[in-house]
Amino acid sequence: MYFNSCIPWDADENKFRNLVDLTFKCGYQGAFVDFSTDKEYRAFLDSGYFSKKRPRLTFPLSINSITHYRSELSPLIVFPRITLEPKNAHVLKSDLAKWVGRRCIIAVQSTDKTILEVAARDGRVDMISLPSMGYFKDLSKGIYSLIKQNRIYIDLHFGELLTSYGNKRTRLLRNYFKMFKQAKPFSHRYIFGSGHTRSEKHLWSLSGPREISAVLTSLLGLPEKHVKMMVRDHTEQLALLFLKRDQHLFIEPGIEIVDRKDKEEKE
Amino acid sequence: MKNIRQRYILFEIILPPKAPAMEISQELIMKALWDSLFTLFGQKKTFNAGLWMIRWDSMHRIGIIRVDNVSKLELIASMAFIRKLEGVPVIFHSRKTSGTVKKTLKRWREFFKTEPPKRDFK
Repeated sequence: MYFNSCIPWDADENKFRNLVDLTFKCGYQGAFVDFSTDKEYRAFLDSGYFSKKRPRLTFPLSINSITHYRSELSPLIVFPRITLEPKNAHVLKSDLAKWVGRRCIIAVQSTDKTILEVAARDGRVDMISLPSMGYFKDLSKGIYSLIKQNRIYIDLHFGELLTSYGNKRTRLLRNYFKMFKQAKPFSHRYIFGSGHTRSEKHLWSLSGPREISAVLTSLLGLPEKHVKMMVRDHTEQLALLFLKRDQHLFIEPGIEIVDRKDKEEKE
Repeated sequence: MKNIRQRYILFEIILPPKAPAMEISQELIMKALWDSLFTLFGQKKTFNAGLWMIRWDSMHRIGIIRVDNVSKLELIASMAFIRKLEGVPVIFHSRKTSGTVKKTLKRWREFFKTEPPKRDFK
């Protein structure tokens, strides 16, 4: 099952509907809908694209359990995702405390090294988002190590590569190349989504998972096994993590409900 | 030396809903593909690829393109980098790769529920 790591929420229902349809046409079965404010989050929950009530799941859980979250409105299975862009580490901590109890995936996006370090240390952060070239320069080996240790996903956007031309594209490819040398794709959890952002220049820059896989294999020379992990497996894992958190299956840190038997079944 | 075989890629072109009515010709697509492949991988890969448009349905904007098995991924990658055709934003979406035309045509009928056009021997 292919998930697009980021499609922006739009208050205009027609625009959002078109974007969802286009994402589905491009070959994705699910997507993480991105928003940056509380208001947008509430609007998304009220929109009907995401079920307000938690659906009843059958155990044991698998990737197919995600289909219970599909709404009648959209062909895609959509999950909420908040992207935090804090000004400093204190704001990040207060933002995390605010968002951690809510039904969403938490991503952090920053060009500040201190914020990235705090985010990489914090277990509440699910994803560190690197949408463009400017975000790469502050990542150090120490941060990569923390990211690996805390099992945080690194979200990369293909849209940036698509919209850049000439030597800018070459530099970006070089940056990716260096990044994959420093933080290996088999040990770090990369997510390579289409990365559709609110920016005007990215409006028509969606590309399917097959195309992204082909670019990573042929241009960057990554093995197909690792590419599949980046494009498909890690997003599935993230979706399952969301599902477990949404169903309150994590009782305590390190303790998780893996099976639940009904009363009738017990008798 | 690696045994070279053919691969047939079934693809479609997605246009924006409010795009001006335009006829996308086979030549236009081939030129865009050659340019993109050339920019990304250079002359050697481009002449080795052996691109050939097998079928093209301009009404539904679906086509089958032939390429050798070694350059398959390079072609799909260069498809991803084509963003505009005659100033209109487009998305190239490859649906299936197969080793025979017969199987690719079968997938065409299955995915798009349309009948592929007859082969043009021009």
